[in-house]
Amino acid sequence: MNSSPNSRSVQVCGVGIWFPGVPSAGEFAAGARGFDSTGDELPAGAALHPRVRRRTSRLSRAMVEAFEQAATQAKLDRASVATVFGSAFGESATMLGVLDQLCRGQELSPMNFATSVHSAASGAISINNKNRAFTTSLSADNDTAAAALLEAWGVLQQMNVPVIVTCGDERSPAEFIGDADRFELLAVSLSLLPLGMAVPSGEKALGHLSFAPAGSAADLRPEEVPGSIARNPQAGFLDLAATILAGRSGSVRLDRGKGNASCVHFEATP
Amino acid sequence: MMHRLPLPITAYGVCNALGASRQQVLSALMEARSGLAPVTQSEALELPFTTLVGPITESLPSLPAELSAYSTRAAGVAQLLLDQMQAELVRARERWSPERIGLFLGTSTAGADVTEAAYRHYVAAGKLPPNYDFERQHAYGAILDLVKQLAGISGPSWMVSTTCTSSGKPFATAQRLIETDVIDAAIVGGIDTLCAMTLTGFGSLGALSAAQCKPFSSERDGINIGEAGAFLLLERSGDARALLEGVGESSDAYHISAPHPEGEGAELAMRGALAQAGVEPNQVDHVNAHGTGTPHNDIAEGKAISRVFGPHVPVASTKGYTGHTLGAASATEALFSVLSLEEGLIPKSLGATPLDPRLEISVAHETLRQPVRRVVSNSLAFGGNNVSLVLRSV
Repeated sequence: MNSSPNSRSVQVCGVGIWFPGVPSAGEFAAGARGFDSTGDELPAGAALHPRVRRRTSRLSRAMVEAFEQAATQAKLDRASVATVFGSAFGESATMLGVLDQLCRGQELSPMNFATSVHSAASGAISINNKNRAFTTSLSADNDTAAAALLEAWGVLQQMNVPVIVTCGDERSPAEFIGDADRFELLAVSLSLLPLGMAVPSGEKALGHLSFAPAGSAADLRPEEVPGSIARNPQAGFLDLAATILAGRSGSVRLDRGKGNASCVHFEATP
Repeated sequence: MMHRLPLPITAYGVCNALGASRQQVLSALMEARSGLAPVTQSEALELPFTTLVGPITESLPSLPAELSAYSTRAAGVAQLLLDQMQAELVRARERWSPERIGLFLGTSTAGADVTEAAYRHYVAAGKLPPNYDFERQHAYGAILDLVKQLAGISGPSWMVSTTCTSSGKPFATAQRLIETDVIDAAIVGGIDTLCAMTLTGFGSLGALSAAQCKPFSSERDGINIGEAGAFLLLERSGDARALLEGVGESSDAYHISAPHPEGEGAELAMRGALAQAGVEPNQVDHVNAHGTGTPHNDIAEGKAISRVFGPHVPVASTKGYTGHTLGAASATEALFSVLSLEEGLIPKSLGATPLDPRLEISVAHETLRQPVRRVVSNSLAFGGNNVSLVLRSV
């Protein structure tokens, strides 16, 4: 496909990654592929005000970690950046906790109910950063990353502002998803800028991202990560992040073969 | 903010506590007849408290046999909505082609009602019921696959889940993607169905009223929850029932479950929508407010409306008719706004008397029949997520 920037291109200027055993994009890039992803590690969420952090789930904290890395690398203003959050299953662990309380006749925790909503991370980050700009929270199963990137592209075009896209999914609920399909917590974030906008960090953009025409094939293979991460609905977004971190150019499929086969092309800045 | 070209709304489908057709819903609005009722056994909701709900009482169609794995209450609502739009969908598919028609819906509960029943079975029997399918019945995206197959469309699709603004934000998405030539048309809207988890959850927050909700009244004490579905077809051009002129989206950046006390985020959304529409506040004839009936929401929203529009524009909340339909509320109330434009109708704001004396807005205490050229419809959500739509008559 054409590798020069086109009308459906955006600049990429920051990457964030969090999953158990790999707390940052830097550690991922350094080759921490052989980790144990099955732990119950709680993301620090250190950027959150303690009052907000207390009300934030493991998934939301992982999304905060990824978001913070991407924002920091690009030096984007957290109080004004537009944000798009994606998750196939949302706050499934919190929701199932509420459901379990309900079905066992226990009193529901109002805080757990309030933070069981899909947009919990969107709300927490907006509140924490006093950001009144655009934010959304969406889902499209295994095509969630592709949907989030397209939504972000629309926002970039219409509002001409930086956008941080963060996608994540909590560990699969054991009650509902069988052993063969089980996955671990993963969150990935990218900082995007409209073409032509200077990167606030003063650095060059990492490259530009273009939507591939429907039916395009990926020319880059998925990253080798443990199966518990490879099965996460956001694993394709991790593949894209890995491609960007490695400075490779090529097309990446965003659904790991389980969705509508959406691809994006990344062209690394020389 | 750049002024946007108005987008035609060329068809719609509606289903809520007022009925399952345009005529049923319109009649109830004109007659100021509420669809709220005490919880009955037929709703299969075991609640440890008293409240009213807004149930869909019409029987819902069954899915075609080949799609039966998707069978849920929400799926039945989707089928019913699409049936109401069938002729216009056929025309749109022929005009634009299926891959140029997007699908952007909202929900807050997704398949929580089905999962709730399945989990009760799991707790009792140690296993899920055999007909339960997490990915096709619970997952946020499940309804997307179903609607795309039923509607015969294949453009970009996703589900927005930002609680009470879930089905308002899809209007903005469709507008952006039509404007940037990614698609030519989109089905937008939302569906939410009743479940005990949502009702009990709002009960735990102390947000439910034991009686009929009373938006803007000094006696208001909480919300009623309802279930609903509303789909609207937006097209690049076509024979419009009404026009989408502008969408404003903002955040309060204040609290996860309470609105900003001065309604600053709501004001931002309304002003953003008006700017996008390229109109002044005095060109708006009616505000369909979020108006939940909670003490905090109504005063905050009232202050914001007053700052933007002053004291004279007629304001109504339709929560007293349907209850708060959460993820479907925004699209449901956008559709009520379209009915206002088509029929010259400002619904009576049920339950508003006696009005909260702190409110400096003109709440519609009676049904008004007068020309309505332009409506602003507000939705304000958990986490301080706000959407305002500007809709105009043809």
